[in-house]
Amino acid sequence: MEVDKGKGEAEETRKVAEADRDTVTLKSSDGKLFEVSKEAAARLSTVLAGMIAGGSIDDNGTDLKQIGSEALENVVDYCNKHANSIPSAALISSSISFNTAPFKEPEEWERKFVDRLSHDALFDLVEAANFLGMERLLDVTCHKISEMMKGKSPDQIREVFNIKNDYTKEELEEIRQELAWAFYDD
Amino acid sequence: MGDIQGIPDDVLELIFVLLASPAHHIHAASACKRWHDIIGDPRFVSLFGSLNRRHLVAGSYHNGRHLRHLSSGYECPAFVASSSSPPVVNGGRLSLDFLWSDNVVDSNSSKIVDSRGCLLLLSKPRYLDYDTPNPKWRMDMVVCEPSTR
Repeated sequence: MEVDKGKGEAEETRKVAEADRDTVTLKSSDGKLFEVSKEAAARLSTVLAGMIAGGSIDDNGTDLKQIGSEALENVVDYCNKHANSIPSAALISSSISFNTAPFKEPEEWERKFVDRLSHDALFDLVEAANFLGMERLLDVTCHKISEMMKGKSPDQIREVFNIKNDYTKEELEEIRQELAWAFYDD
Repeated sequence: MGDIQGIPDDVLELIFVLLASPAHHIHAASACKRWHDIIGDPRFVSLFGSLNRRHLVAGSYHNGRHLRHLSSGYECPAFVASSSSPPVVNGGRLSLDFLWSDNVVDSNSSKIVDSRGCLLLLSKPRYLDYDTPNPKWRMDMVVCEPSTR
């Protein structure tokens, strides 16, 4: 009985120590470690918040097998920048489900943050934000991608996003005719 | 890795909602079949509709207060493109000139009296028809849908 009690106490002490740490360590699919403020991680990611609350955070690096090191570095970078920026009232109120909450325009620093990313890094970051349940980062990255689509012809969209045209000529002509009223005459 | 096609459908949906204009949707849907399926899905259409209560206005029809018929100088009903509308809708397709060009409708006296959706109702003032043995009041009306003529 006494031994068991001791074990329990040790477990308790370890948990307290874990709870006292103000950062969490995340491990990318390729084994790189990143530290991020626990407060920011819990506030910005529903998945990390759940893991922190549920005690499933590993001190030696919580495995995020779906996220590569470049994307994880950007996630952590975003969390740190976010922690340093003064959160606007608009941002706080937008942390409801993105499908129902009105979209809030990216702030200046968020715009700069996604503007410097390569296309590949941007797409990976969208997937990482989606996986981690980071609604604000998802909004900001999706906004950037939608801006890249606006005002472009189907051909230009395919070129920018490296998409294979899987329509036959006839199918494309059908769509064009169906929607002719919305196209320019050219 | 680093491929837009690796992004799940529900996230692409969010991206497309942010496009915020049907014209952009059409171009995106024409890029590939997968995107067409997402944008053409009734779920997307209703989601987009519920988030964008502000409708796109291409312009409005006026009863000759704004435009004069170029050749004859008299005023006739016409389509006036809205200045704030993005140049995605071809105003020429909404023009009423086709009504006058084949003399179906008298542009001199016809006025738009009502509209419903994309249908327009034009009529001429009531007049006495003396061509019949007993003169009768007559009123000519035309219903047309300019965008699909």
